[in-house]
Amino acid sequence: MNSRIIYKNILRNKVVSFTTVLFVTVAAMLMSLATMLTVDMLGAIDSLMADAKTPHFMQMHSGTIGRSDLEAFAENNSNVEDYQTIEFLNVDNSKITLGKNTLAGSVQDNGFCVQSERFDFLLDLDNRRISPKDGEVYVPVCYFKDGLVKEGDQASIGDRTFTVAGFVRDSQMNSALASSKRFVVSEADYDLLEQIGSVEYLIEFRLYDLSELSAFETAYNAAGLPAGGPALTWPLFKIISAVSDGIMIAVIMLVGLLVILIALLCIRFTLLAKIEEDYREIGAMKAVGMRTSDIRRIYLAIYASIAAMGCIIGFLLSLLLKKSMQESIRLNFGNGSSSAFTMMLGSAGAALVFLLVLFYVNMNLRRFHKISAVQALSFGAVQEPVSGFGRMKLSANRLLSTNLFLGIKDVLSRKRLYFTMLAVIILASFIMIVPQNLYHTISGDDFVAYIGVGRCDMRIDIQQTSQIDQKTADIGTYLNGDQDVEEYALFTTKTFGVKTDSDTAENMKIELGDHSVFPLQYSSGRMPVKENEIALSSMNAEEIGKNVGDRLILLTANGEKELSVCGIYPDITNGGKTAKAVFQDDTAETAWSMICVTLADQRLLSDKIEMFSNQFSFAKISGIEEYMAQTFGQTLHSVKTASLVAILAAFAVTLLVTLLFMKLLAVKDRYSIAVMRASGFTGSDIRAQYAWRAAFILAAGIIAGTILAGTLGEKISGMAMSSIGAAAFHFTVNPLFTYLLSPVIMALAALLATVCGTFRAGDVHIYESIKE
Amino acid sequence: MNQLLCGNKIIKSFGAGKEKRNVLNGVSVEIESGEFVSVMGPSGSGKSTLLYALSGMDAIDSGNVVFENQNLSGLSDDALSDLRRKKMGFVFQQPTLLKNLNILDNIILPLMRDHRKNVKELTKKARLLMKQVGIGELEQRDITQVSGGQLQRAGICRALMSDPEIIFGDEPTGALNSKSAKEVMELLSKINEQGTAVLLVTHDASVAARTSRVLFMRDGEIVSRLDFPKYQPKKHEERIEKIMGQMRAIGI
Repeated sequence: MNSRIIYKNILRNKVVSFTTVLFVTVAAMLMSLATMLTVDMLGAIDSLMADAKTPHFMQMHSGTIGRSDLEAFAENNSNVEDYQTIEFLNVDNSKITLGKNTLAGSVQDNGFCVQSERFDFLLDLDNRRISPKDGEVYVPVCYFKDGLVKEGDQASIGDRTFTVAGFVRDSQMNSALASSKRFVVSEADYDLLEQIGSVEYLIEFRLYDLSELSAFETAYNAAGLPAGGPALTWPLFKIISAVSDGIMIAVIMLVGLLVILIALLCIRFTLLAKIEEDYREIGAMKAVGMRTSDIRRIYLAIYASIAAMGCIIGFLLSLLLKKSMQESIRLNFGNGSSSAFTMMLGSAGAALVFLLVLFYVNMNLRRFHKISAVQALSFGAVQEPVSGFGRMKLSANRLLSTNLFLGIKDVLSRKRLYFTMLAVIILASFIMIVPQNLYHTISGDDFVAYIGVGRCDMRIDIQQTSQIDQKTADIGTYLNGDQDVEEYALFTTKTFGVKTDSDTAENMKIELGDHSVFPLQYSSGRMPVKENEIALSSMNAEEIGKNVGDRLILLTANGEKELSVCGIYPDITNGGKTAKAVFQDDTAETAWSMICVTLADQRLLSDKIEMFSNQFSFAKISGIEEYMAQTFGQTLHSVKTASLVAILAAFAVTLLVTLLFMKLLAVKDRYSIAVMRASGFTGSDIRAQYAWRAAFILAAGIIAGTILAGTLGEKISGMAMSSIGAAAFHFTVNPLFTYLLSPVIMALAALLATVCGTFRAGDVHIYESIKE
Repeated sequence: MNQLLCGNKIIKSFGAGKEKRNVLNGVSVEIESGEFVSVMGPSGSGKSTLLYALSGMDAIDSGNVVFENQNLSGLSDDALSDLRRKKMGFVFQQPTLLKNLNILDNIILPLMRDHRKNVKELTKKARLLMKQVGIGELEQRDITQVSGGQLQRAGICRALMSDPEIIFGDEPTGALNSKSAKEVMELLSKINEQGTAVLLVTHDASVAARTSRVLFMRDGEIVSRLDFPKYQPKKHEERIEKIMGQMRAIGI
């Protein structure tokens, strides 16, 4: 009998059942997809790192190295399982052309190397170790993903031509967030190329026990071994690899959670409406001695069927979608876990949605216990107690039209019922506004300052070359005499030891120069202006446990130098670990220099970049927008896509949910409609009342949603951005979108749904509805 | 007296195909201004259907209904609504008031649509009517706080607000105890005496006995009628006897 009741119920309310199934389907699909992609990605990263034998610790170093010191250190340190020093040949980007595309504009440090002998293997797209023949080059997979090059293309490096034989999966540097990219050539070709580039060393270690990593790092630093470049570790490689695709998965998961919330809200509404509709029947069933648990079971079964249907369809859809979503993961890391295992976890994701729905329905059905048989049979559903504005009187109404009054009065007297729709509208406007604000903020001109880059037109990087200080000074002199240059600032990065709380020393790279010319956004404190001040990037501050006002002891060749931490700023450059100070220092060697430039006339930018590139071939010149686009372009693109999808999603959700609510309400309110129709209210009066109800909730929802987006949304976005190093985050609101376009889109959806949902609301069979 | 409402050869069916069933089989009826008419008959005889067909609340298959010289079949849905609001009043078996409005607001509701600006006068009129029907003290009460009889009286006040030409009552005393039923009938009689026509559907011979004409229905047709002179309470029982006798005679 139960199956017949379920079947009839689902069919009787087709629109309602369809919408509920749809939301559950989408929720299950997204959750299953997110689960499968996470498992796949983590599995793929693990297997790539295992196949490649990724180093646990790597120190980049430009300049000379004493191999014997390193070998002695490796031999004496009981933690070291394996050690190697490999060469990375930095070649100026303008000397590399892939097919017809030059890498001159790339902000990546592109370089060449040969296959490693012991570990840190560079793999092809089948995760096999690459062994290029003479004349062949393997290109980093990111360029293939960007569509710059395909297999079989010609690549010219300097004056030599290579054939692109395949692509490199680099377990360390695959991600766009890693600033270096390794091309692989044969040893003979490497020797020939050596003259057009400068060699940088990658000093790499594999450890027996990864948990000893930080002890090892300390030991390495204490041994005074080469450290003329960033030091990176195994966990960082893993995080950097996971970030780009991880953000996509996180977004899917987040949207999935929101859809679950919407699905649950819809279920709550339909369930409440259904219980109210069936109140007398429930009372009658109780009166004839049916147990409450039996009655509950019938309702639970109805929603269990709907949820099961949605979850099964959702899971199947996720299997279909998985392939295309996996593409980027597969290219970056190869195949992950076995597909049976992935599918199993995917189905668990969908099953979780099913259980959640069931749990929620069951929770809502608890109110059955409160239904008194006598009361249900005599009076039907109990009216929600009204208070405050809900008590406003028609006889005291002078301002509002009667239809408007009745619409608003209804909403206020049935808050519990309308809360669901309000919550969905709030969510929808939140979903619509937050990604749009985020995109607007991070695509804005000022955003560079949030990620550790001063607001300028152009940056000139001088690294991996000799006599950096001299060259920097030369450029400075040149810029001084250039009429087109409005302002510039020189920054020199040097490595110093920092005394930690445990009295050991840690290396820190400090950017020295006048930071007031191109100021950053500080999350706390301010920029360094005095000799004894230092500002730390958020990641650095967190790692060494310093706050604004704390003391920091720097170890220089002239002894200890005491600085006070004056500010903390967000940074996504150089792995997020940077520091800034203004003191003069002649003791430490310069690791690299950077010059920020603003031009008097921005239209000259591309000409100037070209001119400077020719003039200072040892330096890397990039327009700040280009620099941003390349380091941050993928994230920007993802957020833009997400914000467009979010607008569509919010529109669809508002449309569907409002349609569902209005349809349900019109059925539920048959009696009141009949009473009003009998009293002479026209069909258009009834429709107007529904439109006012929708408009009232819409207005309240949009206002609340917009406020929430500006507060909570900003916080959530800030948290997401801080995971990649940016912090101190404030939305730059796009007023046209937030205050005009978004409400208009929402209003359009709600209006369309209300018109469709209540089109025939007034056409009730008056006396049959009154008799019910 | 003038003819107020006239139904000619009304046919109304429910269902479709094999399930199709005629509920009204060519019924003709005339109501004059100020008349007090009741319709009796067993369940399923078509009494309520006739009432709703005559009030324009339900469409008919064929025949026509003319109210104040207007053919209702030719009127739009909005025009029918306007007619109900301005010229007709309805009292149902169950008190049909809106749950989220108090008694006073329910009573003024239909007229507020067009006369919001005159809310003061409407409220004054509603209070007067409530006083007349004996629920003057209940105006601010929620509808869940009063008895069925009081609600029915509130329903009658609402029906009277527009000074209608006719009041349609679908078993208005059906859900009331005998005391409340008697009071409601006295109220309707009083309204009728003031010139408003009343058309009632009832099972109760005692209710029908207060009217001046009783129409008997069976299987969708009017099979008989009884006409009475002006109502006199002392002849109430005698009228009931006559009605019962007639019912027995025609087998209903």
